[in-house]
Amino acid sequence: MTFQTTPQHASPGGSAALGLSATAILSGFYLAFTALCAFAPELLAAPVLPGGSFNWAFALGLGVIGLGFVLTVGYAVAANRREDAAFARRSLLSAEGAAR
Amino acid sequence: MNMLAIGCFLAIVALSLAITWWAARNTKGTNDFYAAGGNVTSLQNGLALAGDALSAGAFLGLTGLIFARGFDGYIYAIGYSTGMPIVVFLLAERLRQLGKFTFSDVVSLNLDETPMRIFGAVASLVVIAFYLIAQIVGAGALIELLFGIDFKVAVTLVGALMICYVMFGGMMATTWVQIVKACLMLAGGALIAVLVLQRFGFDLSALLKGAASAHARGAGVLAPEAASRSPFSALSLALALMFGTAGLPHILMRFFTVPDARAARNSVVWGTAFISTFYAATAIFGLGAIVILSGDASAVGADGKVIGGVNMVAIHLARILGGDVMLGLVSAVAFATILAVVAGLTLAGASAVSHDLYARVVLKGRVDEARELKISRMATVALGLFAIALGIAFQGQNVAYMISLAFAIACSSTFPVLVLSIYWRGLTTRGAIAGGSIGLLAAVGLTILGPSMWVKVFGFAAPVVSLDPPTLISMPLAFLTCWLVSVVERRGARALPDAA
Repeated sequence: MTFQTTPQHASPGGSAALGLSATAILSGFYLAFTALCAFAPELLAAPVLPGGSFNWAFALGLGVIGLGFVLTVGYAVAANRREDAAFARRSLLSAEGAAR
Repeated sequence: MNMLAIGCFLAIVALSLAITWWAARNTKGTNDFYAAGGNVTSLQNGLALAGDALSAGAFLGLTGLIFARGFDGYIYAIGYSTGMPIVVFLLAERLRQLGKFTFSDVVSLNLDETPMRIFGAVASLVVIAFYLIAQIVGAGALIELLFGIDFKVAVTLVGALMICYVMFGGMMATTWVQIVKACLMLAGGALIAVLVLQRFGFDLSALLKGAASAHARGAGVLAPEAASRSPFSALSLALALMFGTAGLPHILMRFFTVPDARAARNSVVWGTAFISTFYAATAIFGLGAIVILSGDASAVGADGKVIGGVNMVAIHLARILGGDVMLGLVSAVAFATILAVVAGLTLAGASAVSHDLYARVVLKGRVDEARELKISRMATVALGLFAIALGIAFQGQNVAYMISLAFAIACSSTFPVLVLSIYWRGLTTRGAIAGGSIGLLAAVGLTILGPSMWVKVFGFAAPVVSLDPPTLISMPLAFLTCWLVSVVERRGARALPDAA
């Protein structure tokens, strides 16, 4: 399966590669967490610090929620930058065209 | 029923009607009605997205679930929080760039328009119907409990207000009612979280220890348990929670209300910030309730069951923490939430009927705006009456499966077709329709044969299919069918000139 980059779909913002990688990272982490819940619940029940009540279940669960937000911010920052760069290139080209 | 709760309730009705009146004066054409004029800012759209995601189920339902099942309930909050990021990674800015009012605009762009619009509208309406029935039945039961109004009157009241917002104020009213509600809900949630944490001296480990000693399951309540009993259902649920949001028409519709792709993208950053914080905080509500409600005779009956059912846990918690003032505020927020979410669903359904089916399929785009607007309003009234009738028909029945069914259908029909139509140029019209339809039918069929309907609704002893939800089968099946039919069709088309 090839992912298309026809001009109509080419976005100056987030590229397909950027969006698909972020999706892969988040779903990979989340599905791994779900697999731990299903196949190794005793690992998640263990406390993060010996004797503490904060366990790996909550640590990794909050990690999934946090990762989703961090990736969202990262995606938006990267896509906004690409968009700015594309606009800057375009206005530079048109300025050169005008100078000629 | 205390006067304050009734006062808050009336204030919310008055405020939302004032918003509707203002929005109606500014709703002149289809762009205003479907997309709020396309001038919603990132922050506003972020709040509206948060409002759509944080339904009454997210607040009352998740708190009750964590109260009853501890970490097994929190797994739902974790899963729901991954939905909105997926929307921005894959869809948000493409929707804004490629579409105008509905996601069918996007899927029909490079494919045969008429069949794609019909598919998009039918799949949207099926998802919306299940979501709407679950919301409105829940709404009727909740309002009956909170305000002592009869169920049928409560459902009719919610339905009438919802018709009024959408019909007169369109997307502008729906968005602003959602923004007001999101602010109320985030403020209310923050207040409850602070009041709970105060009881534990702002020490999270004291809260966890307290929950472990107050719950019947002891320290086991802080770790996952159910997933190990049915690992495939756990993975299936994870897929539904993660990719379902990206197929919900009333969420996708929000990206047509912002001016450009950047605003679409940035609005999800705001939305995710609010939604993730709220979902993370549901652990504080639920675990706090385990400690605070235990041994309180005003919340837990002599039989050990929560008075009014587990959906009332958050309401009891608010009352114990902040007396009648908090009870009134939280009840009013719950009511506002229901109104705002059903209004969004109804608008998404009306757009599918008037924009996709009427204007584009029946009249092939040869329609004047005033006429399309009129049809949207008629569709709104029809959908509203349909929701009221079904709400009353399903009174007292178990409708819990309907939300998970809506998510399963969304990620097995609308989501695969939308993603493939944007990212894979090999997709053909037949492939899209075959895949989306088979995904939809598989999600519905397997849910009927599964534990949540075959056992809990029809009362059979054992389910035919034990997978619940069916996403682990239905979602890959949809993608595979889209791919297979498209590839076979293209190969056939290439072979044809040689044969001739």
